[in-house]
Amino acid sequence: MLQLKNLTKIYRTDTVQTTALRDVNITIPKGEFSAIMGPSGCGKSTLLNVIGMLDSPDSGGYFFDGQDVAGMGESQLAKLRKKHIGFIFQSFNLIDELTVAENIELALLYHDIPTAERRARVEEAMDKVGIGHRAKHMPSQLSGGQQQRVAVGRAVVAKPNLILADEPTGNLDTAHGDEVMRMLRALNESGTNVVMVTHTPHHADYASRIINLVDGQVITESARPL
Amino acid sequence: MWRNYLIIALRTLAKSRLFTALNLVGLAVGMAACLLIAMWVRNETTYDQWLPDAERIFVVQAKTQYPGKEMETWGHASAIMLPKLEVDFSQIASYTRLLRGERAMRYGTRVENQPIVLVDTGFFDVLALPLLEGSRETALKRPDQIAVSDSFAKKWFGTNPAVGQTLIVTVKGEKRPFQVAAVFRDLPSNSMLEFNVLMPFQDADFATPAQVLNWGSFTTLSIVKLKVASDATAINAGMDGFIEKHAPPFSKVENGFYYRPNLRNITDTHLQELKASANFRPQGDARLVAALAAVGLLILGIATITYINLATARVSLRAREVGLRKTLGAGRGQLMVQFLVESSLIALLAGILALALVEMALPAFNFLLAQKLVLQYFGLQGVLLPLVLMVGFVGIAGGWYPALVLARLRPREAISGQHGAVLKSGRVPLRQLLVIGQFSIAILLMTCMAIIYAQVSHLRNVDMGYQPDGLIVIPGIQRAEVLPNQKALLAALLRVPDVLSATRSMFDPTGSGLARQSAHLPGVPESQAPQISMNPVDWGYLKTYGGTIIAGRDLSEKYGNDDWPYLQDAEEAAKRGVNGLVNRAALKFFNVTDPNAAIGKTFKLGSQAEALRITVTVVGVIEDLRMRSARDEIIPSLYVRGDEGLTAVSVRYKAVPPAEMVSRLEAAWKQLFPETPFAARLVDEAIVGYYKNETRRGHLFALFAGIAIVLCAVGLYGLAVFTAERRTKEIGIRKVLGAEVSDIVRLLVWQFSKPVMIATLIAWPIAWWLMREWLNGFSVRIPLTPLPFIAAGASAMFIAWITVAWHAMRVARSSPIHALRHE
Repeated sequence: MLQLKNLTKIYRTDTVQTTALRDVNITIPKGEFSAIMGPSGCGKSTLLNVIGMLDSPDSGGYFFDGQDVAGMGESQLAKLRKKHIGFIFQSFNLIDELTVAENIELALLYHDIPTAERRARVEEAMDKVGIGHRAKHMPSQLSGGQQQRVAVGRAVVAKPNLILADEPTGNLDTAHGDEVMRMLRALNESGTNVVMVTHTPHHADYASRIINLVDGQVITESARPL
Repeated sequence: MWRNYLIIALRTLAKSRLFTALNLVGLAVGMAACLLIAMWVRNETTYDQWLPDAERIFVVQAKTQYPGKEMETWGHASAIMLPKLEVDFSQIASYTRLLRGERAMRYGTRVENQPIVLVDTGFFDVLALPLLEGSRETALKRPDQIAVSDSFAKKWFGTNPAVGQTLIVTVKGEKRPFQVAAVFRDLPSNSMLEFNVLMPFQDADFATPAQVLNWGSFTTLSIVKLKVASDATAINAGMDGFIEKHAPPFSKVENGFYYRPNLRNITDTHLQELKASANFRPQGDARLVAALAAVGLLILGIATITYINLATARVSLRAREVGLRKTLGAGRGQLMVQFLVESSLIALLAGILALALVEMALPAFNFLLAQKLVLQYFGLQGVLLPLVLMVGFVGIAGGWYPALVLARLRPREAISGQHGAVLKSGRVPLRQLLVIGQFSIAILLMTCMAIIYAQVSHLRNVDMGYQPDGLIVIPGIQRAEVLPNQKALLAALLRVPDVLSATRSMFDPTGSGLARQSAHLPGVPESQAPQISMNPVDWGYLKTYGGTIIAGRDLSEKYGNDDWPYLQDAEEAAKRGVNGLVNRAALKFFNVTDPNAAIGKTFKLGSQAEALRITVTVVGVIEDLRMRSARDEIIPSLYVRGDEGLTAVSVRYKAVPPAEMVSRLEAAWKQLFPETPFAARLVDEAIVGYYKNETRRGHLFALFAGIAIVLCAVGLYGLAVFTAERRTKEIGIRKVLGAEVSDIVRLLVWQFSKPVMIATLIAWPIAWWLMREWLNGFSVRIPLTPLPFIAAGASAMFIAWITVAWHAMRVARSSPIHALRHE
């Protein structure tokens, strides 16, 4: 599915240079549920951003489905992203002015999909994450768990083959967190790759592989049968 | 997709009500101001284009030049010229002269003094006014016909047909019947012409024969229609020969007075710069049109900038949405479109609001400009097209920059709230430049306003050389029935209680007109004889006006030579000569500065043969009297006692309400001339009238400067919110470290003082240059002191401080914990 080769990412300001990722080599096969763990500032989110093509590496290679992503321009990346990748954020990032259904629909608006089909897929996604009864509600009227379910719905509605989740349970209590994790696992079981950043070992246990990062380097990788 | 854009746009607008309101009001006010100006500019620049065959209609103007002086253009031409012009130039299809006057009219029991215009029989051939009754072929072809306007007909004849009705008109004291031959549609406001009654022209209608026969007297508005429009060039080229043939003395500058008739298309006369306008409506001012058009565009610019500033201020609130959309695959183009849709929506709503504002403000605007503009939606004069253009411009220009900034955000930073760094980058922030530009314009307008007001107030209070209050002018004493009884009238007026004195004169401060004669001084060559303004007056003129004698004595009945020599033999009269008073400005003729040195000096008056020129002996020098606006220079003037050509009585009265005095004078008049309409003009009111245009201009600048500064404040407020938001964390840290509210406020306020200070420095030289040019147009002007400049700059700064301090206070008061949690 994706392959990172000797990938390095350095943040520079006028006086300080911070190496966020150093010589990272990761290969993620199709159908895997991977969890990235590590202490604060170890480069987890940077790694996820690079994988999600929101950030570009300074050196090294990044192959997505066999294509070299490193040399692509912004519009090519945007195309690749909207076709293949769904995002889930710790802080949900729903648009306050849009309803639940509209927020989910947003992910389809930048694809050429006829209105009727779009509606149907939004319905389907809402059913999948169990938020259909709240379709007309605004985000501010929902609990945190419900908001994250909407975010998951939005991430899956375009049927991506990779879902990137940045601490999806970070803002949720245990019960709601488990609920979201079960949803991610179900998605993975239906064939979608999931790459998740988490602090919580309990939630990392849902993954089939755990990648430990420290100071921008992969320290251990443990593959476990589910 | 579009639906989604629209939903987001509408909900965003609804959510941030304050910003939406500020945006809408700011843009709407700017657009409304711009629309009003556009309507006015359109009206000013389309004068008489509605006339059928306007391209073939030309006004014959007079170009004159005195030796050593600039060429001047007059709107009037000599009355004698047009008939000869038609004979000499076959390209002229028809002509008409127009001379304004007044006639007493009677219909049934209604008797009124009515302004009229005397015209030639070719009137309707030249100016094919749309007729409601009658026919252009037959109307005004006979001397007893009259043509009236639609509104005149309705007022005098009600619903009855007007054509065929008979009006009794007093002509030279004789009551004569006139038959209405045509009713024309009321003239539109964008016309140089304005009249309700047209009557046939006769040479006898002129006050003096000289006015008809003299090539150097410019008395009538003269209009010709050419067979082909392009013939005007050929006719103008042939004028040298024409003057050579008919009026050789005027053919060369060296003869002392050069004169050329010149054809100018009627549609180009309204905004022309003329020595004296012949147009029946107030002459336009091309510079004012240009200045206001510029002001309109500047205000629209300010409003757009305000919108940009407010919209960019909201960027940080929209950054997360943008980041998310990008993450979901939105391209830069799609995001730009989305934000342009939003700004266009705002522009559209503002446009609708602007239309409502225009409708509400139009009466006040008309009052300010003394116009009768009407709000039309469609057609050439319609506001819809300019409005659509404006909405398009504001939508795109206003949305472009915020859209660009937002679309440029990188999704990772936008989502994680690090967009501040991105927004902060860039060397000179465009927003700062915009604020500087905005305030430059506002300060420029404010400075101009202050100087215009100061100048107008200075003009109103300028020393006229006489006492304008307590002085009433009664014109119309040349009417046939009054002329022989002028002395009886004078006596009757002097008997009116509280009247202190009364006198007659040819010219007075409430009218226009000027007679210039050559003053032949000893030792000055014939061709270089200077011009002197000739003022025939009655005994007691100085006393009535309250003028000051600075040397010599006043004119008096005691001295035989103080009276004009009315002798049959012109040579005898010239030999006898006359005593006269000159003003201070005439001292330069005698190369003296001490007025006493001018007493006893003589010169010969007039351009006749030398033997016929009357010798004038100076017996007194008076302080300059200003008979016109202070825009005009004081010219060397001669005052002689005479009986002929006196047009008005001036009455000096004691502390009585002016209206009361006018009615007493009217009663005295009516006893002598019960059927002759009475008119009276207050001199102090006439003086205020001189500066009506300047006063209006001042009000206009005040209005637009006010709008500009309010818009600037709104824009600045937006920027202040934006900045405070960007610096929330910094403010929190400062507070934690011990900064007080006042320190924070000072910090933020200072940040906004800089652009206003730079704006002031930009506006000052421009205002200085513009106002120096404007003030140079006045003979009496205020000096350009730093005061209005400093005042405008300081007011702008003060307004900026208040605007910013209000928000800064709120930010500074909030808890530092809240501020630090911000990112």
